[in-house]
Amino acid sequence: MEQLSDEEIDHGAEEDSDKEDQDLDKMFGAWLGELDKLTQSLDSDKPTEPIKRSPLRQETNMANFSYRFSIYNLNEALNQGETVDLDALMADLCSIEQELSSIGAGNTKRQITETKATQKLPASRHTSKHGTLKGLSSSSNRITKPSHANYSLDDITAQLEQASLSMDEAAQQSVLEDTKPLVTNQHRRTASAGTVSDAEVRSISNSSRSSITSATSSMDSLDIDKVARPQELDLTHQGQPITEHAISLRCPSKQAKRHIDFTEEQAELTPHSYLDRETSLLLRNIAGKPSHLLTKEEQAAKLKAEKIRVALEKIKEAQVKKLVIRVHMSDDSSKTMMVDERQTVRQVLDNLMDKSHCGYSLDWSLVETISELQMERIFEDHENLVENLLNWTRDSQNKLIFMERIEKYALFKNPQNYLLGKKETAEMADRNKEVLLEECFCGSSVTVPEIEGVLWLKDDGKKSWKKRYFLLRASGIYYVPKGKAKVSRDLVCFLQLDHVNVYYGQDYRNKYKAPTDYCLVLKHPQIQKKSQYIKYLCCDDMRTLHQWVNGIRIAKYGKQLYMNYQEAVKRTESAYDWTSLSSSSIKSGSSSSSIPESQSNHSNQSDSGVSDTQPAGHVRSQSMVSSIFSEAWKRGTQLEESSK
Amino acid sequence: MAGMKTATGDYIDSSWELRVFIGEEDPEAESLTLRVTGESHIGGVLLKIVEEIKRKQDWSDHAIWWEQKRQWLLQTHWTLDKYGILADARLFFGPQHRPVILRLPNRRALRLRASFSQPLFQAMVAICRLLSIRHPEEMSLLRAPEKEKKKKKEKEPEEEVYDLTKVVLVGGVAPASFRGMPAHFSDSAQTEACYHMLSRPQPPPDPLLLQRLPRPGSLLDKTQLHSRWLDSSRCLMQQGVKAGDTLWLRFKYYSFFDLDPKTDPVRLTQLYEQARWDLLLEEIDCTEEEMMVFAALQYHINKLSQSGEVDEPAGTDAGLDDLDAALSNLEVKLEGSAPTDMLDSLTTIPELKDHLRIFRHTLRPRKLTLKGYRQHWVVFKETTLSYYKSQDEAPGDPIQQLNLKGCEVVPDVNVSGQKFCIKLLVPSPEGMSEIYLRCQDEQQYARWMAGCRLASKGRTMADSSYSSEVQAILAFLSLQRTGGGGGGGSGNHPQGPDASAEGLNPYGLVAPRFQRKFKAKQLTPRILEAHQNVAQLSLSEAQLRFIQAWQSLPDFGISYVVVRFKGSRKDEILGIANNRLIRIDLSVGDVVKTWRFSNMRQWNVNWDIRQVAIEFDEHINVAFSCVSASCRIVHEYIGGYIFLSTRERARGEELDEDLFLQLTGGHEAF
Repeated sequence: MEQLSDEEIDHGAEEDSDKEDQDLDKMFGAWLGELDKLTQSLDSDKPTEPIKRSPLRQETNMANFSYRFSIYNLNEALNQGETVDLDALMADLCSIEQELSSIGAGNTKRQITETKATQKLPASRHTSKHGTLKGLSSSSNRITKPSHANYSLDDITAQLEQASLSMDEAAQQSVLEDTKPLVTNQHRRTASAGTVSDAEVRSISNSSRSSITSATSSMDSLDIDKVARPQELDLTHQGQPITEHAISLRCPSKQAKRHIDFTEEQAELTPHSYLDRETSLLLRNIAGKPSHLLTKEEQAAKLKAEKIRVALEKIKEAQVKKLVIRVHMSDDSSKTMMVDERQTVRQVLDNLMDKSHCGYSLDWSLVETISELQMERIFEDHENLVENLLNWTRDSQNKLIFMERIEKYALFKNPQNYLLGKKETAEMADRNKEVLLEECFCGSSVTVPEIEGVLWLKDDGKKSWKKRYFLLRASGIYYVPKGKAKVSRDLVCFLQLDHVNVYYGQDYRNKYKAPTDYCLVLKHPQIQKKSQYIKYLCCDDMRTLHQWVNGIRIAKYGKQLYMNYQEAVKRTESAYDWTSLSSSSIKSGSSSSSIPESQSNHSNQSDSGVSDTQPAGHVRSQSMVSSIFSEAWKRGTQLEESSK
Repeated sequence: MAGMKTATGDYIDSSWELRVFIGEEDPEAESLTLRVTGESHIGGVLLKIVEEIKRKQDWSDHAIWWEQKRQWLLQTHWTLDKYGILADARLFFGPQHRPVILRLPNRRALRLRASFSQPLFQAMVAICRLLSIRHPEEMSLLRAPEKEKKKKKEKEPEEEVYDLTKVVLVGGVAPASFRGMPAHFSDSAQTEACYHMLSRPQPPPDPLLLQRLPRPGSLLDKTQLHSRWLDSSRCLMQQGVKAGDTLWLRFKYYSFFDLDPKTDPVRLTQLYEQARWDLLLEEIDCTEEEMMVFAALQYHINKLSQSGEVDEPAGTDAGLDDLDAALSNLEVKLEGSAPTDMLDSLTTIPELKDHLRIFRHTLRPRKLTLKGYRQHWVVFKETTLSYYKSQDEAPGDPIQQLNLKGCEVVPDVNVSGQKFCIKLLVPSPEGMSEIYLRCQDEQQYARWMAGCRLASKGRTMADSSYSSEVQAILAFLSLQRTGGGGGGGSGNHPQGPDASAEGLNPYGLVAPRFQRKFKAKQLTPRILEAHQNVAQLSLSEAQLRFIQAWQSLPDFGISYVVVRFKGSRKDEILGIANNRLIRIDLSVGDVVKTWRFSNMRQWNVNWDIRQVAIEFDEHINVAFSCVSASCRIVHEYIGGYIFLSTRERARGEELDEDLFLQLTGGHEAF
């Protein structure tokens, strides 16, 4: 069952035990070091014309973009096997390559090399941010099992390699000869670090290089001609696998792409775009006509528009960043997995629950621990995981733990203890709980529970704690100034909640001489080290602590929190139905390629989509099982979709 | 018919004379004398009256009001005997709908015809239909407070009273929409103006007026208002309201169902106005920070409504589909109509480069001095700010480079002091870096500030909202110049297109206690600071945000009544909210006890001793007598909230009037 695509590469890492992992980490560290050196050398090497510099930075993004983009397409081409017109693709690649090498003026070449160097940087920067997470440039992982896909693949890789080699040669002649070896070096390191086979190495480096070609040229905003062509290349990549009308798609998608980039000028119109003028005119004419009244051309035009749309979606899709992360389990083991930058914590949790056979429960949480500050936080289900993880520093000891935490949704299981502002715990009939939640979260505005009381506040920079009377309001946390009454007008704002997250402090009695161990911390998520901008509060007992933390969560997230809970309940309920059937059935369902096809925009599925690269025989062996459950699976996923 | 007589003139049937006054309750009114018997039907009597008057007129709205019994004789098939009417009855033949002046939540006066014969609940349905406000059950009428004699001597400026008395609504059909307003408003320029008054927020009040208006000084004062609610189950006539009287129209129940800006422009606006006046007149307390947000929203709402941007602007960020964008651009290009410089501006992300004075400290903030500022060459590109020792060094390494994504941007501006600073709080793993950028003038400040704000949201200056952001900042600066600047910039010509910002006094946006606490020039920057978080909202979004912020105040939606609990010797306050009853200590203001409606089993009213008894789950019984308001008001509040909680989305507009009257009435039986 562990055939889910992203596990492929993880296998390598996991099987080789922790020791290997450490080695890997080291290697990454070394690699990063070199990268840093490289960056420095790049920075210190001041170009003669100062104007050239700023475009460079800007282009980095572009490079990254095209990089992922082209790999994505290549990958897809491989997945789709037979229908791909690889020869056409190759032809395009070669023509680009020729064009580029023929341009070969010193200036542009130099740019190419520079770009190569910088182009690697963004990926490595991501890596560098994660001590325990290893950021691999995601897309390289995706081409892990290309060998089964197609007989002509080897040809392609060979040609690609040639293409990139000639690129390299061109680059080597350039002025920046000193940076060049470093670049290639990295390529090799990437490969070995990834513990993948030789063939894979080749494909990784090749594909990244081929994308460099396109990236480089697309960056060169000075040369319009060059801009247009690589794009054409990219779009051919994607166009052909999708449909058989490769030719017809080429022009409109090229056009569309150009307009996104806004790099082209009117004068540059080619015969193809002339065709497009007609198309667009047609399109305008047919707007609103019922489909049976359309002429052939009109229908074709409509078709084209549809294809442009598909193409644009693909472009979007290809822009997605992916990260390899390590998740620690409650039993001290750890799992490596890939997450998509769009994935929410909920989606990652669902993945993890699927994979770890831990059973489904509302309480499964992703907990971020910041060891340097001795604090932790349960990620909310709607949060974006990657965004949060990018706040970690490079050498961070922070951990991401997958564990059951009852406090995550205790608020909704026993709302009476949190929403009524009472001091003592109480029982409540389920019906009344629902009413209470409804009242609190489903009105036109969310009612923030009235929480107030004496808390201890840590002095800035000192290990002393002062008592203050704090109140929670929707607009933030307030305290009553000395000698004043507890009326709204006299309250002093302690903190507004927009920019801070709430954390549980761990063992602050020892660390900061806190009066109790029930501490909460408020800080900006980006702060990772001791700072005066971190606020520490200490409660008298556990109950007060949880009331405050949950109150702050309600004030901060409002209705979203309740929606998260309802979603989680729905997931666990449907999952429960599944497991009662057969746990293996789910797995086979998810690894079988036939079903998730239609859900390319469901990011959860984007990973399993790669399982298409599995040998066909394997899929077939499971097809019996999966066909039995595919209906049920469909229903399940439809339910999920509709619930979104 | 009645009135047979002998030749001598004696009546031989049992008929008697009935005197009916024509017109509204006026002792001087002309009267008619009819000959009737006890068997006469009311309908017949009405017919006779009309015949006698001999005037051609539409009498269909007229009915007979029995003064002594304070009762309308509306059952035309009933006989006089059945009603128990004898010759001494004082009857008035008058219109059922009479003009009243409604003081709307936005404090404007509106004259309209209201039903004096139907229960107020039904009259409210009609009024709300006329004003095109959905969910009339949430609203009700209050008696206007009695004016103190002294004030009458003061010359009060004549105010405009909008008039809707001539508008007649066809029954049954929902008012159709015409020219963006309900059809019955589009008849004349007058009614159109009236609709605009109803559906658009009013400009901020004069701060002086604000100071003069009565404000509750204590919880006890807040109970006064709630003693004036009219009774929903009885008609206006029965409650002593006369034609031409002034009544207040207010949202009575703080449970706003299905608030939708699209279908509810009037309701939303009036609710916003009620919330605004609640805050300005300190009916509800809030903190300083909250007041600044409310002020900023008011400023923003006023600006939008003055500039006529009533319609929703198209979504700026995610509005355009990629395909649409691509195709429309394609189209533009093919037609060759787009000037090339426009394309250039699209391809290049604009950047800012300038000499700015910078002050930064990463340690504990100290008192700022001008000395701390150093001149630097600053380059602002995409979302990154880099600064250099001098322009010559720009290609080299910057002294510091800050990515402003996710940072806090705080204006620190004093126009009269010609101080234009931007405070940036940039988060980093080590904490926050604080950095101050000091600009030379308003123009420079507006450009950099707009850039910083966009960058903090992860957007660049290429974003379409950049120029509008710059304009908004300039407009706000001009507000400060005229409002709180103290004449420092009298020579400057006004900036920005909308003159409405000119002369706007920040004191009109905050409750009077903040007028006392802050000088205008202290207030403006704080409003400015809060404004940046709401500057992108559309009019209705801003109104909704205002209402939501109002709703999330801890004291929101509590109606206060002075009561005396059974067994207690002192008066206490009962707070009635949409989900609970609160027992509050009168002197201290502390909450003593809270009971939730969801736990309530039943409640009873003993009308004789004016006592309300409530039973909750687990045999908790509470009883109190009402002091400041009649127990009918308390009873109606509780019943009303129970009624409102039974509303469901599925039922739509339909109103279960019987249920409402059942829950809130009941005292009729006594």
